[in-house]
Amino acid sequence: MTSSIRNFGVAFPSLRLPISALASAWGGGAGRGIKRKPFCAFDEDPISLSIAAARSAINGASASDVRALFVGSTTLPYEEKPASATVVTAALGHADVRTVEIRGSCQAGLQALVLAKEYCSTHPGALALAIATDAPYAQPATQLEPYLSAAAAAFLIGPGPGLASIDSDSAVTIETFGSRFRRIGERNLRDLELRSSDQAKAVQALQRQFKPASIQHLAVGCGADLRNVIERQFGGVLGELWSSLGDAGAAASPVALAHALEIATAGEIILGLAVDAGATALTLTRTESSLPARASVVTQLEGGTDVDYLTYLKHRRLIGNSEMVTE
Amino acid sequence: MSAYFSLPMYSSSVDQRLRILAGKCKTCNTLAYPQRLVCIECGGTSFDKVKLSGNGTLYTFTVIARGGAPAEFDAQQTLTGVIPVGIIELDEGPRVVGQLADVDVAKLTIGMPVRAVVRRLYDQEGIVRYGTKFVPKEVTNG
Repeated sequence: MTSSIRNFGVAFPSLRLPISALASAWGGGAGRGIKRKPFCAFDEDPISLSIAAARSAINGASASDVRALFVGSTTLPYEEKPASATVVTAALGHADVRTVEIRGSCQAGLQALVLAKEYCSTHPGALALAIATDAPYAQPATQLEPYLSAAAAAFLIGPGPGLASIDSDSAVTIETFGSRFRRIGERNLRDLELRSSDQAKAVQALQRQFKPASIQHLAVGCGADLRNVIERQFGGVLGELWSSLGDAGAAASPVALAHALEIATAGEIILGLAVDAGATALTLTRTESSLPARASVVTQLEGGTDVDYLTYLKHRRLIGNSEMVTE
Repeated sequence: MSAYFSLPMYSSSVDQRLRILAGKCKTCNTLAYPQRLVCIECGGTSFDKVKLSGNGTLYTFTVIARGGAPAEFDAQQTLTGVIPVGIIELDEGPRVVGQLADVDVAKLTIGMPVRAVVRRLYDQEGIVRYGTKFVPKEVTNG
């Protein structure tokens, strides 16, 4: 039985950092291709974003019919204690839910979507919620910091027809060394800038085994260097979110998927692809169903409040008194 | 001064806090949010749980100046300077006290439409305390 995306929702934090502010602080051409990025205020985190996205995705459906929740993130607030239970409390309100958290890489968001699809295929008639939410950080003045942002996307998955059918998926695993890693207990991502080709190898390995039909839209989550490589190898049109979203970790590809669902026409194929120590990909085919009336992904991204770099550091808890600073 | 409340209290009320669950008196249908043990209208003690929309208008507000907030909000106040707090008249009738977020305090007006969002309040005893704040209705972020 084909599973479909019945509805979706996205959520962005309230604050934006213009990259010009970061460049003014450190000098130089930081954040290639990015003009502005969303980041979490002091009272926001991947769970609060998840709840907002989930509520938007469930809107109009019965929360009591959602029987599974799959959350993909690299920055949930606990190592142990399922933070996703807060999403169940706030957005679903009942205990008859299987909750699974997927972590460890930028693939986590798309992996949540794949697992939701597989759950629905083995539980006919059931609804599942897949949420990709992330707020990755790096040390200031590092190569990664300008790109890293925050976002959440939630997808209500169930029997068709919905807004799009979820057609096929594939994945490869290639161990990487030195690019994008973070040990337990560390807050900041590290990248040793070894400039290895491991991530590009993942894209090539995926392409050898996953050859979807003609693709019209690409929804990609990966580092800045890979985007054009992926566009050349898979075809399709890259979404235009990079300059205002940046690298939202596990949420990047799912947010781009949401945007693609808004702009695709009936019959068009969307490829979602997340690359990080391997790659996960899935294809959607847009149906004729209309989108619910609400602010688009681009409109929501263009909102938010611009702040300066000092305010950004305060909200990131990097400066302040002993009660504020957590790093 | 502290706003401390225990984890068992937080646990017993978290669904009310995050999902705006009111109590509806089975005798006279009066809505109570936060939930009560005894209906203020008829004295009834039996309630159904009803989820409210979270939409409402700003009934009144105040802006707590630096140093005026409970200790749990010290870090927040150091960061933001002031803390706007309002009484929100929910569309279904009940009025509730709540922090206002994503708002320029100079632009607060009585009667402005607001909606509930879940935000991180503070960390205490190692547990993240989430709660409901209210943002202007036109704000699209989460």
